[in-house]
Amino acid sequence: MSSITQIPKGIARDLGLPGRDILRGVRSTLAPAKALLPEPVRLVLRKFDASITPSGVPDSLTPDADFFSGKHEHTAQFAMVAHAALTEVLQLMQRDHLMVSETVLALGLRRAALPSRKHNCASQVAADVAKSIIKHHAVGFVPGTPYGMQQEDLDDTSVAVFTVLLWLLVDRPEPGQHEAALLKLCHDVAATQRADILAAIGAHDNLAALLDSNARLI
Amino acid sequence: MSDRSLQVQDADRPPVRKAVQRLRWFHKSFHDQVAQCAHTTGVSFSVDDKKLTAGFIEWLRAFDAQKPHNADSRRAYVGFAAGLMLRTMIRHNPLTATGLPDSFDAADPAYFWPEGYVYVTFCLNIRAAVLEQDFHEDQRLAPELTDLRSWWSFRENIKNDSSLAIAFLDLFAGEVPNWTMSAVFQSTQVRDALGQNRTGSIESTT
Repeated sequence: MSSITQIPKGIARDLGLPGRDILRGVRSTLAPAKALLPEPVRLVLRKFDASITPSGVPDSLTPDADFFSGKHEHTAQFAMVAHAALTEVLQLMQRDHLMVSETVLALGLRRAALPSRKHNCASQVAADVAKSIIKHHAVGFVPGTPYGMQQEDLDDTSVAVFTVLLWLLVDRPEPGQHEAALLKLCHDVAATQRADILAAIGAHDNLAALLDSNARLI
Repeated sequence: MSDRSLQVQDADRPPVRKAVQRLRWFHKSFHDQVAQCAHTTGVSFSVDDKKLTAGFIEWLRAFDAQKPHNADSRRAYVGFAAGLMLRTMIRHNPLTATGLPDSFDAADPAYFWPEGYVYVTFCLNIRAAVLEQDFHEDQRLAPELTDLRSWWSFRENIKNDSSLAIAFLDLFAGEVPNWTMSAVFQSTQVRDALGQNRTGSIESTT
């Protein structure tokens, strides 16, 4: 166990997206037993957590059209930012037992990006990306654990993904935007329109329109 | 009221009528208003941002639903929109007074109903800013705004019909309240045609 605590953050980064997801899976598997463990072991696990947990959404962010382009360099950035934001939103929704896969987020973006090139509107592309992320199960339980996604889990995941895409679409006219506060505002907006989001999630144009209208009002 | 007013005008910003339709501006302005009222009255408040957001979205939908296309009705709609905002504030009630100062004047509406007082002040300040920016007009405030009996009637009547908040805001702003169909916007021409004038009284609604 002590060797785990000595893994420097740099190594976890070098392992790439799948490596980080594997470590998150281990953490998620151990989570239910955490309360039963003695404090020294919990301390070790907290250090382990810190080595793979992002420090939260970035302080400043300027997402532009390239952010959803699916190009290699932007895919990695998108996956990292979306992972941090989805993790934050799931915590706000008190659904932080669900794991977010950075790898599947990246794959979801890449798979959505190519067909999305026919769109020239950011909300249309964002709707494709949202559908792809949901379809490829970027949020869920660790494979192999005796848990399955219930309808409520799936619905909460859809609302969380909508929230993050909405946050990325909102204009940022002033530098120094408080991204965490903006994300929480998007979460509150999505919470008030949960039924509309769930109704639109299967219909691309409706989802794009909902993303666009909400981004404009924020 | 003036010492508790909100500084909502800034030459470098979009006009208030546009800015108020953005959630971030609305949130910041409301929090600023609460801070100003807390400072001048000594009342402490807590704000529920989720309720504030839900109220904003409801207000925006109601605002869009009755927005007139006729330019002649724009001036009248400013007051109606401010009333709609007061109605949603009261319905969602995002503010809670958490403490009063050691001594206060019980006849001051700010202490009779601290939350309602902040909502009214906020809506009147936004109304005043739009009237000044878009119509170069100063808002007239009525004596009822500081009259405890009016506030008692206001608080009692909206328990049964929150839409009466729209008429009460008109009353406080020195306008002609529409006590019978408060939730329906009537252009100036329609109201003139119906012969409505300031003969209605708040007593008639109790």
